[in-house]
Amino acid sequence: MSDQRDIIIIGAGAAGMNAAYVAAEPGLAVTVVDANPCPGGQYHRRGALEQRYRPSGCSDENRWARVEILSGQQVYAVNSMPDTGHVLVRMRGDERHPHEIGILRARALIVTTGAMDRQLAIPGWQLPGVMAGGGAQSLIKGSGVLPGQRTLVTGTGPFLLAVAASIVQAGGEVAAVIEANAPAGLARHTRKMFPAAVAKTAEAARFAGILARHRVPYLTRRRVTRIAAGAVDTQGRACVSEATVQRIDSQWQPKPGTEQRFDVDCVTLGFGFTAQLDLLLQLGCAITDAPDGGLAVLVDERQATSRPSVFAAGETTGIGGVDLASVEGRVAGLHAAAELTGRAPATALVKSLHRQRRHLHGFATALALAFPVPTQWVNDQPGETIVCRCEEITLGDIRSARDDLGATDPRSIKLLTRAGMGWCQGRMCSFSVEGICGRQANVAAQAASASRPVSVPVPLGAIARDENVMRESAQ
Amino acid sequence: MTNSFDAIVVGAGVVGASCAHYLVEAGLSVAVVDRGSVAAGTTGAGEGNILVSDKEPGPELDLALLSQRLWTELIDVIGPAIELEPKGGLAVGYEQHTFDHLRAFATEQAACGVVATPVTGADLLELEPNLNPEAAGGVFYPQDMQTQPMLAAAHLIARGVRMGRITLHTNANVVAIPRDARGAVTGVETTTQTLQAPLVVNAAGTWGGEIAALAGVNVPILPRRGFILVTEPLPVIVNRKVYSAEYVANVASDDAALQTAAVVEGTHSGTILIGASRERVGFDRTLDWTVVQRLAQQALQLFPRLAQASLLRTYGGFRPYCPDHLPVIGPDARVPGLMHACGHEGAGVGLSAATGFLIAQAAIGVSPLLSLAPFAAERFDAHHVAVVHA
Ligand SMILES: Cc1cc2nc3c(=O)[nH]c(=O)nc-3n(C[C@H](O)[C@H](O)[C@H](O)COP(=O)(O)OP(=O)(O)OC[C@H]3O[C@@H](n4cnc5c(N)ncnc54)[C@H](O)[C@@H]3O)c2cc1C
Ligand SMILES: Cc1cc2nc3c(=O)[nH]c(=O)nc-3n(C[C@H](O)[C@H](O)[C@H](O)COP(=O)(O)OP(=O)(O)OC[C@H]3O[C@@H](n4cnc5c(N)ncnc54)[C@H](O)[C@@H]3O)c2cc1C
Repeated sequence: MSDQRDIIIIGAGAAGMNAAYVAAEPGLAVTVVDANPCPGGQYHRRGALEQRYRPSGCSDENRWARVEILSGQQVYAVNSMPDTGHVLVRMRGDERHPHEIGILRARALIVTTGAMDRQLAIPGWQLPGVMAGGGAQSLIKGSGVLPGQRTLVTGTGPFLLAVAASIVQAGGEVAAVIEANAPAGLARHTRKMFPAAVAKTAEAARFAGILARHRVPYLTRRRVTRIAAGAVDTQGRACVSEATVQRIDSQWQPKPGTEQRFDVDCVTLGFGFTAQLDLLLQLGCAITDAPDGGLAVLVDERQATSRPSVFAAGETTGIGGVDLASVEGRVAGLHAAAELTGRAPATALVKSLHRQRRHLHGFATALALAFPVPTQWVNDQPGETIVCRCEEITLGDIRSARDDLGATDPRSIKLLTRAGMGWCQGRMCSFSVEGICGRQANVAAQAASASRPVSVPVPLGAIARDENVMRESAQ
Repeated sequence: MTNSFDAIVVGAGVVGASCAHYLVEAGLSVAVVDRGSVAAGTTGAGEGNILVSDKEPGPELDLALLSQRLWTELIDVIGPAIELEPKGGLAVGYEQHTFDHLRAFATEQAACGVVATPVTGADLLELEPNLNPEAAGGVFYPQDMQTQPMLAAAHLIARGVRMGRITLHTNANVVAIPRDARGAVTGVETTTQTLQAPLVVNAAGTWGGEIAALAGVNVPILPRRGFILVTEPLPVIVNRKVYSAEYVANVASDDAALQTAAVVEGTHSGTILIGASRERVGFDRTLDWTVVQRLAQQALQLFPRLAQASLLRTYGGFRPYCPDHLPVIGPDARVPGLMHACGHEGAGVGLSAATGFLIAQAAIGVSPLLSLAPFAAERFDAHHVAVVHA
């Protein structure tokens, strides 16, 4: 088959699959590329056997027949051809087939790569048994495996309830849910967006009901300040055995004398999510700051980015939940298709989607404001706290680069300490490093530290042999 | 805090850091000013090779040999933190005729004091066991070294700061260089303050032309883009700094088109760096996959085992180059109190020690160890007549 497509969608989550369905107009070749073994993204994670994820309201199989889904393909780079305006999508196979690489060419691109867990360094977070909330949820949803026997669910936001609920529903024990903010704040922020808030509040209430039935304590204005390991096990690993929780002030500084200890073998940390912007940054799309303190790609009414024929939807445009991702995906799909067919989408449909998007977006903003994540406290922890796990760089190392060596921003911290240079390319430590730098990094500086010219490692041998590149340069 | 110094160095890259270091050694008080952080410019975007091997006989090789000597002394002054490794370089000729060319080049260099030993067959593989056994031969340069340039810059400055002799001003963009009635510089103005000194050293690298313009003079410095590939951390595959013979030809080339010639080296952390491309495309940062592929192919030709290694990331920057590929070093005869230390192209890390040393000699009026004439800023003026030393 030729490498030419009309629309390529990267990411088969709620946003990408909705976009694909809507964009699959007769005559358009639409392809969805996704790293996972099957479509569904973060939210609709299924066992590998259940292949067919269909977003609600997307039931016309004639449309799906026009959608090609390439699962198990990791996109490592994208770039636009200066002469034709086409976007080149470079991908490699999964962990077992990293040498299998390919290139597709698209007239329009929709980037729906979602988000990853946002992490913050605390003493002991590198221990086996500590994981991000999203990671724990994926484990349960994806493989039906419990993260631990007895888990402490910590962090902030309604997402903690979802994590705790799935643990108890899967038969695990949750020692407590530790919420750093106070959920009362939410009512103040959501009063104005009633329709969206009702559905979401009902969902949260359902989770809260599940937790109440399992007698899981819900403790607010506290956070975990230390995670300690127990004795070394038979495999020579020291896993989590205890977590210390303290009351905190509004900047999340712990109050002395309020220590409370939990005997647990698992701790989940949930500090929100970071949009996956690697590919959008490679294309040079304009980036903006999001209300949750992270970054998002800048899009217009049509979900179009600042680059021609490049659209984005879902968490890449700001963390907003699965419903907003679905609506944005539809808007992006409609407009990407309209751009190629030259036929304007139905006005009534567009209006209704825009209205839903506005409500859901308002709710997402309210959530971000009600559950803020300050980061300066990261700096005030013990110097031996590991910050960059890949390269084993401690908080003390970073503080001395900042105070003694003149590193004032995340980039120079990285150059002088190697924090963020390892396998994960700073995905786990960059939010902490920004906190340690103190000075609120501006969008450009944050975007610079989030930019990754190669999104996924690719074997040099595969690159050297790639005939597509040679053809590309011969043109 | 005082705003008055004996000297101000504009630019906290490896060249500025070295100038500051030797100025302090010469007894001066120094302010280092950078619009970003330490190593915010090209120093944070390149590799750390300190080479004599790639230089043809001439003023740059003399500078490199002096620098090489000074760097070995610097290890004792700033310690192991700068990851300085005297690992030696190996230039490899894949075909017989390139190897012959390499050998002839090495003979010329040897006449100027470069230690260069041709190696073939089993000796070559003993130096680099994973090298492609089909290579015709190589030349080993034991004087070549490697450092981590960001750490080198940071530690050179930090030492002076600890001694109370250097004041570091980061995030301070130099926007003006005021001059007195005589035309002599009086210091610099940054976005936040005015700093005074009778001596201003322009160590702004690729942006050195802009700083010169603030003082009213022309110094033509242009960007020459380069990308480097970084692999995942690996067990040691490459012992030395190994490059293909074409590299030397590219370094000296005037061609604007893309050139690549793999330079392969391991680092402290286990990653392997594969550099470097050379292109004149202005300040365009977009990654070019043709470049990535060519570098990968050339690296694999040298070390076939690298085929299994994963490319983890790429980075790159803009080398500061002058039309004649020589740096600009020393007092500017047109503006009293202004000195330049910029335009080192792809060798600024290596040449930084000698540059700083010569700047300090000029600052205190000692006659320089090397003639600064080939590096004079005025050489680009239309009416400039070169002074030929007998
Ligand atoms: C544990 C958990 C629980 C949640 N619970 C709720 C909830 O209760 N209610 C709610 O509203 N929201 C919830 N969310 C949020 C919800 O999952 C997201 O809002 C939603 O999935 C966003 O959809 P998306 O399409 O933007 O991204 P995703 O669903 O994340 O999909 C992105 C897809 O892109 C793929 N991808 C990324 N990069 C590449 C690449 N380089 N190459 C190829 N493929 C790539 C990924 O594999 C993934 O399949 C939860 C999220 C998590 C993690
Ligand atoms: C890919 C690549 C590989 C390389 N490999 C090597 C190698 O192996 N060996 C080697 O020797 N060299 C190498 N180089 C070249 C080397 O990196 C440079 O020659 C060297 O870093 C130049 O140092 P510098 O201090 O002059 O400039 P820079 O490091 O660029 O420092 C200049 C500083 O001036 C500051 N500045 C600019 N304008 C202003 C202003 N108006 N106000 C205040 N501050 C200002 C900048 O912020 C910057 O920090 C390589 C370069 C590249 C791109």
